[in-house]
Amino acid sequence: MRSTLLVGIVLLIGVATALFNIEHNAQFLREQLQETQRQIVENKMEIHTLKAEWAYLSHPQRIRDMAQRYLDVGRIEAKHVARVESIAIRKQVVAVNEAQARY
Amino acid sequence: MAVIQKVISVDGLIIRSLTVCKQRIWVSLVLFAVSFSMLGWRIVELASMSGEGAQRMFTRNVTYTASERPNIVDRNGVLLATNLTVASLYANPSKILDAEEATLALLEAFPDLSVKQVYKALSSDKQFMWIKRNLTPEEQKQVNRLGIPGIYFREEEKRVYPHGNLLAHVMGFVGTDGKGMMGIEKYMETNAQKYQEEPLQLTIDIRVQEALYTELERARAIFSAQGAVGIVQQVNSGEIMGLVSLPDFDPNNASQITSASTFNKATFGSYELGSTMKPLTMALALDKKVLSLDERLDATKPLRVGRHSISDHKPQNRWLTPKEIMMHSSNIGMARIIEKMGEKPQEKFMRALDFDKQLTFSLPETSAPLLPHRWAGIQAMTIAFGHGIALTPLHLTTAFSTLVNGGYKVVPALVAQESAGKGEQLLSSATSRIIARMLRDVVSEGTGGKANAMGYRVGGKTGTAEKLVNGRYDRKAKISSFIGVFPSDKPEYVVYVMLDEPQGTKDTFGYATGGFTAAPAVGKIIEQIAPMLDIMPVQEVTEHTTQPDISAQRPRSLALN
Repeated sequence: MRSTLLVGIVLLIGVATALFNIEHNAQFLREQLQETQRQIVENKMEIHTLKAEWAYLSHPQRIRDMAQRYLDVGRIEAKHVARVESIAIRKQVVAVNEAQARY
Repeated sequence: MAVIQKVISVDGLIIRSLTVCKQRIWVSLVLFAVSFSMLGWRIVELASMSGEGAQRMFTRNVTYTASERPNIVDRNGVLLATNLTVASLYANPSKILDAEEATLALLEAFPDLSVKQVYKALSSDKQFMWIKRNLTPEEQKQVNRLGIPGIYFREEEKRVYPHGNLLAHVMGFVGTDGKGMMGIEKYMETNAQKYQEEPLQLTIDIRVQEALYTELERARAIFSAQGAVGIVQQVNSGEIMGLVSLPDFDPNNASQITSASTFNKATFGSYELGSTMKPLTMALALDKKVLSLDERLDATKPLRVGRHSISDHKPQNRWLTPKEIMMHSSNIGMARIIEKMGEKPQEKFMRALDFDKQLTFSLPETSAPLLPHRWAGIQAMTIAFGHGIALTPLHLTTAFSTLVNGGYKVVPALVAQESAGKGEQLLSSATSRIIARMLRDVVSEGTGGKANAMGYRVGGKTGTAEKLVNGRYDRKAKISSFIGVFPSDKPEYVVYVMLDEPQGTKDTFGYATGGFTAAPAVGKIIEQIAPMLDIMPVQEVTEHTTQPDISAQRPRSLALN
């Protein structure tokens, strides 16, 4: 009877300790989760703001001004546009390509 | 006897106590047993819980939405309007220790605030006084560094338009309470529920809008016009690619807005548009076979109708074919056409084009055209050359889309989700092709030459109408416009430019007509937007080349050998 009681008490202490540990770990993880979720919301907010900034910086007028200032390009005119088919490919180049393909 | 009873009583008490004691021990034992078995059960439960079960319990949908107000984007997804969370600064004067010191400190950070106002606010006996709203993150940091007690931030939402006034009349703006007051923002008040997941997508292409805006602003400046309108519309779907009305405003600064700047000349203003309306009656007459391309009409002298006299701006004094009537923009010719056709078909056609009502359009700022009281002979004649009827530019542009898209009615669309296709056919496809060809002739040989963007087969019609000022037509106040169509062999887009009271310059020899003021702008706009819209240019052979022009030659192989 006495030994059963002792075993019972030991088991009890064991179970209580185990449960306490589990609860403790769970609590820790729960806090971590909340923190991560808070960070997610913060990051999404930052992304949202950045998207708005991106739109602002991509204002066509701004791009146009910068292109005029830093790039040496002019406006696209009709004479700058052509179809790929209208470019004649040299027979020599075609032969070389075929040779390479066979290899 | 009493002693024995006491003993008995004492015994009874002891026994009862013992019994109670035993009962209590049992109760506790049972309670503990129950509690610990519950614990044990919980452990078993936790140990046996599956991964998904745990996930379900602990993850909720972590969504972030700045607000419930949807974003607005253009047809390519470019962000046009969004809500951002900003901090606004307020004070609780009852917590301010020294109003003077606090005022001076605040003015260090915000020198543009008024000393008097800030001091008054800080020394008042209210509990809440705004100091400055919508601070930038930098300004926020500054205030924090000052460390003034009694000053707090409140997070607010601000509607932000990254493109500024580029789309002013299309977007509209929101009031201080965040409610849409005009434009698409106002449209959103009654339609927001459709756009919870996806942003509200417009048919506008921001690049087209930019090209339209720049050229319009340039033309307005050169010709010192009071205002200007520009519209680019897709002819087969009625979708609006660009819409500009000048003067305009910056929706980011709603407090600076005036009523003049918010007036949408493109959709709300009604004007006698003049000769740009001629192709409508011309197309109808050809469609009804009342007129044929090779017949001639008498434009030798002004036409008298009752007490009215109809004359031409540049009289040709001969009989004209329909093509010549269009190229020389002859009012007499158009009147002759009405003589042949009668006014009823014209009235029916124009009512079918919604010229008698407000257009169904997402912008709330639309108006119905002004029609004459009667639609008899003389009215029909003046309407044929664009007088006696006041339309909005959007009405005309949409009617032109119908003219050149094969004759199908279209409805102007600004919101992508509400774009409809072609409606009923009002003219035959053959007529549509003929009129498109005629419009091309106006540009290649007639009054619209300055709109000719090389390679893009631009067609169109000029219009110069005197405005009614105090009941009389004022020669100095014109509505000069040009409506362009490209590419005219298979029309895709209509481009409309209108200038309100332009003044002639030295370069235009003092003329402020549509051909000199609006047509060049349309040409420049088409040059820029055609590549964006995937319109291939053709190599046109120019007639006046003195040097061999590379672009005019047929494509040769590149000189690699």
